[in-house]
Amino acid sequence: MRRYLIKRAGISVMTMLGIVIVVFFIVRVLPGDAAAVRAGPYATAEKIAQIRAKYGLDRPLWEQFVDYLAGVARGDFGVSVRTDQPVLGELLSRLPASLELAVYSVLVATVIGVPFGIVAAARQGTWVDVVARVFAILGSSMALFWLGLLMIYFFFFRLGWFPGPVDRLAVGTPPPPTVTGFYTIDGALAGQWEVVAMAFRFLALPVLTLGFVLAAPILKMVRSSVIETLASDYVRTARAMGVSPRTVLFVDGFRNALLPVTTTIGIVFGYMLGGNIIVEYLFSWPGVGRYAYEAIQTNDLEALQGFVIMVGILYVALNVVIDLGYALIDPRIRLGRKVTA
Amino acid sequence: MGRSKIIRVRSFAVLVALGLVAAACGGGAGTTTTEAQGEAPATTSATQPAPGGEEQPETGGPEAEAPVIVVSLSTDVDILEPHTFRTTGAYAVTRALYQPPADQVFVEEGGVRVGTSEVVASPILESYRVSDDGLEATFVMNPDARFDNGDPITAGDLAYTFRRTIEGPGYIGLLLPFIGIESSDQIEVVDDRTLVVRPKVASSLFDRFMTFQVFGPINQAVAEANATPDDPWAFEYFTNNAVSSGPYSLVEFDRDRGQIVLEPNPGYPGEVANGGIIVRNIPDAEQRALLLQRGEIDVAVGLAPRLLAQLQDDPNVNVYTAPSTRSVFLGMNVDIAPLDNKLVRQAISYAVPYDALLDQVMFGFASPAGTLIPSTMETYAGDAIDVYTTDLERARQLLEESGVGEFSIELAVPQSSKEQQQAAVLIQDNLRQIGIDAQINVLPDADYQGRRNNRELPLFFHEWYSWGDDPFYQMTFLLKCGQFTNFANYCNEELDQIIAEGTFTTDPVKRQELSTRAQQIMLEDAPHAWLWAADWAVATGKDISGVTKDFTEVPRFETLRKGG
Repeated sequence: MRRYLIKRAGISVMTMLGIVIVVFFIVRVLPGDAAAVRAGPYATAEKIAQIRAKYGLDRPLWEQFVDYLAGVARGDFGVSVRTDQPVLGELLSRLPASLELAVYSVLVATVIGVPFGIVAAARQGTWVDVVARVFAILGSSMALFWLGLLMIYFFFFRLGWFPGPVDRLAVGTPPPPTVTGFYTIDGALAGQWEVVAMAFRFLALPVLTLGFVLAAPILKMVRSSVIETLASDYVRTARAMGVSPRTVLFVDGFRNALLPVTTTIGIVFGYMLGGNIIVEYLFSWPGVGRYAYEAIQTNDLEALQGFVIMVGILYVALNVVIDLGYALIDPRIRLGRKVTA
Repeated sequence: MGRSKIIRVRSFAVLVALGLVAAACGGGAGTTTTEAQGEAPATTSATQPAPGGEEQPETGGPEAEAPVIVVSLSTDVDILEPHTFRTTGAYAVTRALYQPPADQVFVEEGGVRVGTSEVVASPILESYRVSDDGLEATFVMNPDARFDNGDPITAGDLAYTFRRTIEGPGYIGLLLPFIGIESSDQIEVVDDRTLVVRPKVASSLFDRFMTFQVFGPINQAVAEANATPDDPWAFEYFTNNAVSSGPYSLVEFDRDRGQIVLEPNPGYPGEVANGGIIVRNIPDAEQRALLLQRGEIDVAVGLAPRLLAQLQDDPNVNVYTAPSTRSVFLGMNVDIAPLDNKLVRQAISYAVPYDALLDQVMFGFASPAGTLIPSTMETYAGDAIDVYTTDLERARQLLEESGVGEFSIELAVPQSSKEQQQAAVLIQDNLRQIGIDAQINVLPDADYQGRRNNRELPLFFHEWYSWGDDPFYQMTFLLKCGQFTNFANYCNEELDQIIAEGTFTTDPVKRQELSTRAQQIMLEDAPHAWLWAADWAVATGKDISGVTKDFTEVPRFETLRKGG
């Protein structure tokens, strides 16, 4: 186990280094001039040059890269050209909003996708299966932006069931004292139940929007994995031995399908870490996705690369957690040892 | 063990699902917001007490029980430093925190307080006077005017602010030559209450500039306490903090949530018609409109003409508009062939579908431009001289005369402007009819700005608004030879002489004469096709009044009133 962890940590570090290198150079070849944007419409060439010098954008690329690499190693992601604030601090203060959205969205997607997938697999070819497949196709093909607009239009504007897309809490409401950064949890820890309820209300529409779309790949994976395991020899044997259909479905079928399902949920969660820019923009959600959107608009290179590197690091960390989780899910897998049949 | 874990996970999932269902049943958001508006806003983040602050005196102040108003802007608030270029949202907030020494006299037109060209002392001054020869301006401070930390606003603070604009690293120094200010030697503090500024030349712009927020007093003591050898003017401190000389105090500046909370500054001697302002950044304009319609916000700024047209039919919303000099034009880089041929530029100018742009793109929320001095700006000469109208036959003739023949050219549009993208399609269609194949290239804003700054774009859109509404100021930036914002690279020496003379001419008849000649030259040379002058527009809830449009068109919060 220790050897495995050391090896995994080494691979992770190399992966992160690769991410930093690739991101640094990709961001640098993006068209546009951050200094010109910062300087504004009245900017003379001298003023733009001053700003470029202030942020080190006038130095040779390799010099900028070495400095940046050293900075990242120290936890310094540079300074945002747009706000003049340290990028890491800005990202970390916005991260809980994105994580809260991601966690609840994946939970909702799982709550929809897993049972629906199991039932669809158990009743393959019935109307339930047809509905599940139609749901999966809709979820996979519907544009997130479009679905979000529909959700806001009907559930906020027409029906008034949910609050408008303004923030994580109603305008003017102070957030609870920060412990985790999740308002639903921090509110509960502070005993501010009204804030908890409000936080859930404001989470509802973006979470349902994302949950609907993210449920599709989970549902498809659960359905196909369970169908595959239900067709296996050991399930046939279990059935022949008189094991109840429910036990066959949940213990033999679903449990054995958990590995690919876990991988899919992990991928979906990883996608959520950096992939909810559209939803955050649409719902005015103050997370890292919206930060990235603003950075793109203003060619704020430091902010943009900080965002991509942070998402990369989180993704690598997530993969390590998933790998470790395999051992808990499947006793046949023992980390650090080769699996023998 | 395994089973209990599954149950726990399942229970949590059910709890979350119930939470979301409960959220749906938890009542409309309108109720929530209304309640929240009544609550005292919280101080959570970047605002820090200013060093050297004293207990605040109870002078002036807000009306009792006046409601808080929620304003949504089209951008976030990036920084609060008043002498650095920043987002439009940040300009709106800093206007509330830095009260300029002068203000316009306002008249009501169609429910909007519209600024006239008459300029008077603002509430933080007791008097403001410019000598008849325009070479001496005297500012006498109002003894009741105080910063929000309780310090009196003195002539020294105003002098420090002038010096900061002259010597500091901000962009304001570029504007000072227009009002004849070159060095700090021209600024004299006579006593604690009296400041004299001596411009080198008389300028019709001086009064107007004194209404700009960039001349709003900065607290010298606080600035000096936060200055460092690398940052002698304390730009870093004022990037995140403010010691207000304006109508409001900064209570909260939460960049993460995109929320600014302002409450009336008790030291401000002028009137504040509301109990405070909450500024929210709602990046998507469609959502801003929906939130306004549902009453979750009170004021929405930066809505597209299409949305304004929709909102006009909503009985719960007021759409306030006023003619503006915000010019949008199609720039033609005169150094890139075949646009180096004047006849080609004239042909393009005749091919533009001006009326269609006003109707189909701007939905009527714009006036014809005519020239770079649009029909809404003083000294517009389009009524006396011929301006371009759509005439495809004439355009074809000119193209033929040019000898250039049919050609293909890039037409660059910034990604953020849907109106300009729609306009590009209509223009492209007309250009095709005269034999020009315009290839529309929608570019990310940063890329667009970079390429335009580098003069790489042959045909490009440009939107420009001159604070102060002055024709010669406008021409200086957009047509003067070698000017950094003259992206068409146009140069005409006669026009340059006219601009130089007009900038420092105060006689209105002479100014009209010079401006008319300038417009004749620009129409002949056609470095731009002037598309429209976009209306100023703000949408509010039905119960909001006191909407103000001043020289800068930056939203004014202190006059907004809710109810009654």
